[in-house]
Parts: sequence; C-alpha cells; structure tokens
Amino acid sequence: MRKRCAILTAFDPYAFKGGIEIYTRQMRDTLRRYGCAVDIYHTQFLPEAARTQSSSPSFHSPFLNSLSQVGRAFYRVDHLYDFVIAQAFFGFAYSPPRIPAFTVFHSTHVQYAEANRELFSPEWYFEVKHLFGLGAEQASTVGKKVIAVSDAVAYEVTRHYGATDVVTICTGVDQTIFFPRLYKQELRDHFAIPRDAFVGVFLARWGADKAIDVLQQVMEATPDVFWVLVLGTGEPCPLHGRLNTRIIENVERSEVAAILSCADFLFHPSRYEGFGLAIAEALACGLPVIAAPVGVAWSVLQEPPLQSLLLPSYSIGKAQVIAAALNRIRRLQHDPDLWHACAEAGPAIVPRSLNLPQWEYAFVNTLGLFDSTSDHTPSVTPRTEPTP
Amino acid sequence: MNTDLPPAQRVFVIAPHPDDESLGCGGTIARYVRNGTVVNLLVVSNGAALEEPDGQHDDIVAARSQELETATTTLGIQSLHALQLPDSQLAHYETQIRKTISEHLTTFQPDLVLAPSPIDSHGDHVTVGRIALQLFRSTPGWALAFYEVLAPLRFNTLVDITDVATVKEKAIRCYQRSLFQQPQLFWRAFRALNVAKSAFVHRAGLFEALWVLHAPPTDHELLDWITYGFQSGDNGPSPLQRVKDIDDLVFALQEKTRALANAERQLSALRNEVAEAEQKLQEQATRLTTLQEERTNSDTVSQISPPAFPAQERHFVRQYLEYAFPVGSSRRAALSMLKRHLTQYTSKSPKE
Repeated sequence: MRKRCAILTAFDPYAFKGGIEIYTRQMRDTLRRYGCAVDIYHTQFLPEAARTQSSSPSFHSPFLNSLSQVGRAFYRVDHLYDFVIAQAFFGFAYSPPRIPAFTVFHSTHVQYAEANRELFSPEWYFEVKHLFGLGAEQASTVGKKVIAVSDAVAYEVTRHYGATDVVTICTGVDQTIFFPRLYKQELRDHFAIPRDAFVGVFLARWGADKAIDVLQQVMEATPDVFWVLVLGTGEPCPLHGRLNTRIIENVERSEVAAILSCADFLFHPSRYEGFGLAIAEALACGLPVIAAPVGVAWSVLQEPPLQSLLLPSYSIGKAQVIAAALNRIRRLQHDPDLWHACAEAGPAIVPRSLNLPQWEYAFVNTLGLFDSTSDHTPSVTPRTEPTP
Repeated sequence: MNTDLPPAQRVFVIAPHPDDESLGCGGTIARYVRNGTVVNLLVVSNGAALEEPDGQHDDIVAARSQELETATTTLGIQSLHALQLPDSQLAHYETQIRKTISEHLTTFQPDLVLAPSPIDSHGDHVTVGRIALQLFRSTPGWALAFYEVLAPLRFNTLVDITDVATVKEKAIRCYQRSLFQQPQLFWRAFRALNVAKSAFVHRAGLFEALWVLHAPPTDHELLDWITYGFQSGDNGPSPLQRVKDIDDLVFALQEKTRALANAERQLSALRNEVAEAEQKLQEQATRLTTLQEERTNSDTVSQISPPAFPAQERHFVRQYLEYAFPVGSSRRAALSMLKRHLTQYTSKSPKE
C-alpha cells in the first residue's frame, strides 16, 4: 500500500534556494521514487482550516509563532499520513507526535550561536541559542527520531540536547550535476570570467555568519585573484561593480556546478556549518577547497593533500585565519602540483562517502520504506561528462 | 464566538454515566443526527451509585440501562455501548476505559469525540475527560470537544440547539429514576444553562457550550484556558510548554538587554555632557587666567608711570622744594635743579 509522508519546513522550498530547501526537494524526490506520496507544509502553506486554530500557543518570537501554527495545524491532518519528517526545529510544535516522526538536524543553533557570538547582538544571541536551540530544537528531539546530516551535527545534538535516538546520514551530492568538467575555458567565457585569471569562488548567501568580513579582507589582499561570488537568498551584497569580481545570484544547480568546475578554488570561510553542501559540491567538481574546519570539512578534509588547505579554527583569532587563508591561496596559485593533487582528491572522496545513492539508501532505510524482499544496495554510477 | 456545529461525519460521544450525554450535549447530538451524521455513544459506568429518595435500589442498574436505551433512541444515536463499570469508582478502571475507548476510535474512526470536561466536580467526569485528553495526545485523526455537565466550562464554540430543544427535553425526561424522579427539574435547570449562553451571542435561543480542540493542549494551556489566564500551570514536562517558557524568558532578557543598552547610551550621553561641561569650565578657567595675567601686566605698566605721588612722597617733595628753591630764586634755575634731582631719584631702586 502506498505510504503517505508529510514534510514540515519553514520556507517554501520552491521559492527559496537555501540548503534546507534543496534538501527538502531532494527528500521529496527520493520518497516519491520509493512510492511515497509527499505533501510539504510550511509557513506559507498550512492545512485547510488551520487558521481557526484556537489553542495554538503564542510566542513573542514571530518566527516561532508562524512555525508553531504549522505544527499545531498539522494535528488536523496527521491521521492522513504514515509518518512526518520535520526540517530542523521547524516542526517543533507538532508535539507530542501522534504518528511516527523524524527530525532532520542540519545544524544546532547552540553551536551556531557560540561560533558567531562576537557577530551577534546580545538579544539575537539569546534568541538563537536559548530559544531556537535549547528550546525549539531540543523539543524537536522528544518523541522523534533524529537524523543528523553530519557526524559533527550528531555530536552536537547529543551533547547539547541529550538526544539518544540519533542516526547520521551524510548529505549526498548529486553527481549527475556536480562532476569535473574539462571544457573550463568555454565555461569561463559563458560566465564572462577571464580565461587566464586565477579564480576564487565564494558560494553561500551573503550574511555575516558566512564570514563575509573575512572574505572581504581576503579579497582586498588578493587583487590578482578574480573573485566569483555565487550568492543564494540573503542580504544584498555591496560589492557589485568591484574590480576583478563577478557576482552571480539565484542560479540553478547545474549552473552552480559549471561555475565551480571552471574556477581554481572555493573559499568557504564560514564560522559554522552543519554540513556545508557547497564544500562537498566543490569537491565533487574537482575544485580545491579552502575552508574553516566546520561541518563536512571537519571530517572530510583531514587527509593530505586536502588537509593542507584546511583553515585553522577561529578560536585562534580572525587575523590568523585570514593570514592562513592568504597563505593557502598563494600556495595554490603558485604550486601547480598541489593544485592538481587537490583537484583530483575531491572527486575521489565524494563517491566514497558523500554520494547521493548512499544518502538515499541510508535515508530510506531509516524511514523503514524498504520492502524486505528486494535488494536495495546502493549503486554509484560513474558519470560521463556531456559535451558543453 | 463560533456558533457553527464542528464539521464531522462520524461523532463518538463518551458519557461517564447514563444521562450525561443528554444533559451535557443532547442538543448537539440531535443536531448531528438531523444532519445525517453517524453518532455512537459509549457510557462508561452503570450508574449503580445513585441514591434514590425512596431507598429502592435493587434494580437501579437495570432501570438506568433501560432509561439510557430509551434516551439513545430519542436522540437518534446509531450505536450504544454500555461499559457497565462501577459508578463513582472509574478512577480505578482507567486502563480498561482507555482500552475500550481506543478500540472504538480504531473501529469507528470518528472525526469528532465529545467527552465530559476534565474540570468538573464529579470524579468520574474528571477520569473520563482526562483519558479522552490523553488519547487525543497520542492518537491522530480526530478533534476533541469537551461538553459541560456539572461545572461551567470555558468554551470556544456555542452550538445553537434551539430547533432541537424539544428532542433534548424528551431525552432528559427519559431519565425518571436517574434524575431522582424529577427530570422536569433537570430539564429546566439545563435549559436555563443553555439559555444563559444566549448572552454571549446576543440573540435569543438555547446554546450548548463546547471547548473544541484540534491540537492537544499542554496541561499549562489547559489550566490557562480554564482559568482565563489567571492561573498558569507548573509548566510540566511538555516540550512545547518548555519552549514557551524559554520564549518568555528570552523576551524578558531581550527587553532588559535593550533597556540596559538604552541606559548605557544615556549614561554615555551624560558622560559626554559632563566632559563637555568640564571642557567649557577649563576654557573659562584658562580665559580667566589670561585675563588675570593681562590685568597683572596692565598693573605693572601703571606702576611704571604713576599717575600721582603717594601722600608721604608729596610731603617729601614739598620739603625738597622749600629747600631747593628759597624765596626769591629764579624760575629757570629752579626748574633746572628739579630735573636734575628727579633724574637721580627715578634711577634709584625703590629701597633706596
């Protein structure tokens, strides 16, 4: 019998281009492939008649208030589903759960708040750490199975929230989209990137927590590097019109892959990441990654030669991190052997531990969707490069 | 105030005793039946604890069962299940009651469950209401509506039963022995209760009060609702309530942080003002010193060209003149001697 699943999230996954929205669409596609009917509820789409809900608790935080409406409203329709998957703490108000429930943790707000404490106002710090983290996120672990997107997040969920029922399913990279391209020069032409430039890519939304202060200082100190900023939904970037800089916003996934493939390195200085999909995608595209030891970088970039590009932790000071970043950029720029070694190491790691079929297998297995009679061992199909 | 009948195709009514369904929500049941909704009834106790005025107690269980069946037919209820547990002792049978209700929920699959309010003066009503609430927290697929019997209930829905009031009256009148041989008195009392609700909707009629829930409330919310926010619960173990409490604390902390930042800004502004005032004072002091110095310099100049001799010196000059210019000396010789002596005088130090 066909199973039905509901996904509770915060933002419209078809309108926003954040990591969680990509993950939501990925889950939807996977569940549908395994014969599940999927409905997605978010703050702009609630079950019918949910607006007349009378016993929904009201929060001072407007964001939590709208999330609470999603969770409470879901009670009206939960009987229509076999299980529910909540993204992050966005389904916290569906508590206690009346059908099997899962929470996918992409990060922990306690760790996020601590990593960005110096950037946050005291009010925002309290809200992020205590309300979103120790409040809503911790509530999202009660009576629900926790899926962590990386070992780092699994550790944080256990440490900060005392969760016991945690399974790590590393996010997978879609290798049908993210793979190394040979026609780099043509791709550079396509994106109006100089053919002979040494190109650094920044792939994230424009926000203080993504360490854009560090990025800007590094950009200032590297006038001979051509910078491509691929920005998701975030604050407006003030660097439009800057020399040797190309800003590309709201691009499709395939275009992101093409940009990554024609660049020379990814610079990912973010102070905190639960997973850091951009890092994994860049590795898949054969792009050397200079990143802070956060999320997937913490566990994957531990072996040479990629290890040599890992930045030190911010705990030693921002100036030292910037100095280390400049040092690594220079090394990549002037040491072709190192560059080639890193470019080859990335695409080897992804099929081993960050590929989509593995994620899909672990995910579907955790949800208990496998039919016991059939063989569902994941297979990794190597991709061949299409002609551009 | 919502006066719509909660939408439902299948309604499951739970009554602690025979007669509670008619007294508490007989009109609502009649309206559902009139709309073609399937209504099933579970009566939990056998009503054996009733103390009749004439002391005849032998066949009370059978009598009340008979009355229940008649009332059930009157209301148009499709299916009746009497659990026949001992009256006034339902708290001891929680497991059995929960199991029975669960089975009914599974087999009948109602959209709406009508249960007595757990805030009531009768212990059996509390037990049944609490079990319904617990099941609502764990079993999906239905909405829960509490009805009032003995204790007034804070409601969010008033069902207009004016058109079916006669059905409710007939059902109540079925309970001769259950209602102490005075069903007409109970009808009048409950009619008054239903009429009183017309004050909330500003139109004449009879209204049954329901507290309709679509999502399980925490104990805190329950208490908060029942007491109109006067008494908040002890927070309990509910994760959602914990988030709410943290939200309150964070909000208070944010308010205080903002107040602190404001106070610091004001303090900083005051410090600046004080510093500016000090600066101005310093400038004034400097100006005063300059003025004093100017005055001092000016005084020195005055000493160099004195406007007049002091009195003592005037006396000395007079003596000198009398000595230097005896009567009869020439004016020219006198002036010449005066100049010579004056030059000698001014070139000497003050001591001399």
